Amino acid sequence: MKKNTLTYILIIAIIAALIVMGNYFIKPRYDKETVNPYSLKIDSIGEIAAQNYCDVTSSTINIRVNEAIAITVDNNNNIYVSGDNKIIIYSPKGEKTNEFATETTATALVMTEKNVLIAAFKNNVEVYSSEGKLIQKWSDLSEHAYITSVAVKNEKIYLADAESALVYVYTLDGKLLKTIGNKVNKEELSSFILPSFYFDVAIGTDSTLWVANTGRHKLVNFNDAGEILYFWGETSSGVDGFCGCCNPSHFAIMNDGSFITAEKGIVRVKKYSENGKFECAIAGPKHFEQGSTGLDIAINSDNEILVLEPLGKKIHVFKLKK
Amino acid sequence: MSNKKVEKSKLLNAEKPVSRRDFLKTGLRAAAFISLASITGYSLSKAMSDDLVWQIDPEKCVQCGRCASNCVLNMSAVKCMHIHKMCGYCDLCGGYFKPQVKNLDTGAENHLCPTKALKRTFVEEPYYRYDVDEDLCNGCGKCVEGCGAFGNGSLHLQINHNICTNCNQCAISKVCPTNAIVQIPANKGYLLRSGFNGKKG
Repeated sequence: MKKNTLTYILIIAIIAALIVMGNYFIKPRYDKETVNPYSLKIDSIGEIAAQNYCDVTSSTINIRVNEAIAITVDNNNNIYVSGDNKIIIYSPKGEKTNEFATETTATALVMTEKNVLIAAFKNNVEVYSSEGKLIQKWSDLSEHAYITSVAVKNEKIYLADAESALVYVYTLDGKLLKTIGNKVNKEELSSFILPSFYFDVAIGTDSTLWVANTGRHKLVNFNDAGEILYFWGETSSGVDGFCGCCNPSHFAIMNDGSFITAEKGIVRVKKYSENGKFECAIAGPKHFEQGSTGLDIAINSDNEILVLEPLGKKIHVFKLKK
Repeated sequence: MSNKKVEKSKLLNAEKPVSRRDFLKTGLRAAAFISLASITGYSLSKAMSDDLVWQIDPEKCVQCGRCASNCVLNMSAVKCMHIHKMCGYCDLCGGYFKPQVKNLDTGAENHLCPTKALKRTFVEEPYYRYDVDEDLCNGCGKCVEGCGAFGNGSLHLQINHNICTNCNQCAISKVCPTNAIVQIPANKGYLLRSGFNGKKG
């Protein structure tokens, strides 16, 4: 055999070997049509029948914030959103009018009756003017605290700390007045069960405190002494109840005392009467990106419902028709 | 140097036209050399690198169900693993109970897991602990889907290295729709969800 022929054969053999080896590492195209026999069909669970929807008009405001966390409105219906280490201010029509930087992203926002912005961070509180000028900063909380919500009424600030599962009542200048929550008897409704870091508070029309006991799917009402006045909420995957862990993840109270709740898992926003009776669904899974969480809610003076959707980077504005 | 010598030198240095035969020869030799160098380099890098093991990247996993049926082992080496520190210890656990379950008890009709591999134990009111029986778990990911949809996502699929035979080419990785099965050095820990920082939720 000629020397050249042998060389050619060897080269061809090497190339063939390389092709075989390469082919071994090339993945076959998986069959997209393969049905998963273990698939969990949850889409149908979140479906809300047409008759259960409220009659609302809706619009959206695009916010272009990557990691939005909290939303609130001032007396003039300007919108404040925290995210990406800043607080951004939008006009009632959704035009960005101002923004200012914060050290970290505020985990909760609320506006006082005097249009002063209270921004709660992981374990400290900052007070700003409505234009974003820092007025006061105080931190009396444990370094492990994790504030998830803030409410304000009658010169008192209510801070929900998901780490300790307690609500702290402070004066506006940072003096601790009271702690609400039972750490001893876990069977009591005043013992807040928080499977995850969703722990919301709001003030009712009678100036009393409402707290979301998310592990028990209940909203609990407290008087100033920290005693339970009322509670409502049912565990159910039906449209009238709350399911999964940690729901309602957020809630707000309208001017007439009715409740607007937001849930994760089955992503939906619903309206309940002031006694906790389900009235209608404002938005269901079809209105939000799949897997949306952290739907913070604010109600403006026109009784419009503003729902922050961090994943979709937008604010949904719903207005109930009479 | 005379003019004649200069011209001769120029002629010798002038490029000769390359014949097709020479071009092919050179090309094939170069290809063979590159191939051999590549194989040698690849083999050397494999020999000198740390041992690699197959793992599932929980961020990419979509619980397609292929892990349960494509592992070369009779019972898949992919198992559900539970990050207890991340778990909410919920009574109504989306990974344990079928959706829209009526009674929150351990009745067989309430189990989401097709092999009942997830065990529920009462801790204290209202907390329940959930553990995976690896002998029963087939790695289907149904509980992972439920936990992710309704809970904190503390359940996730992972390849158990006590069971995995560490094939050169993982059979599951060839059918994984999201390329979630990756090789990582054996001395690294199990891949966890990137959001996990020791806190719940």
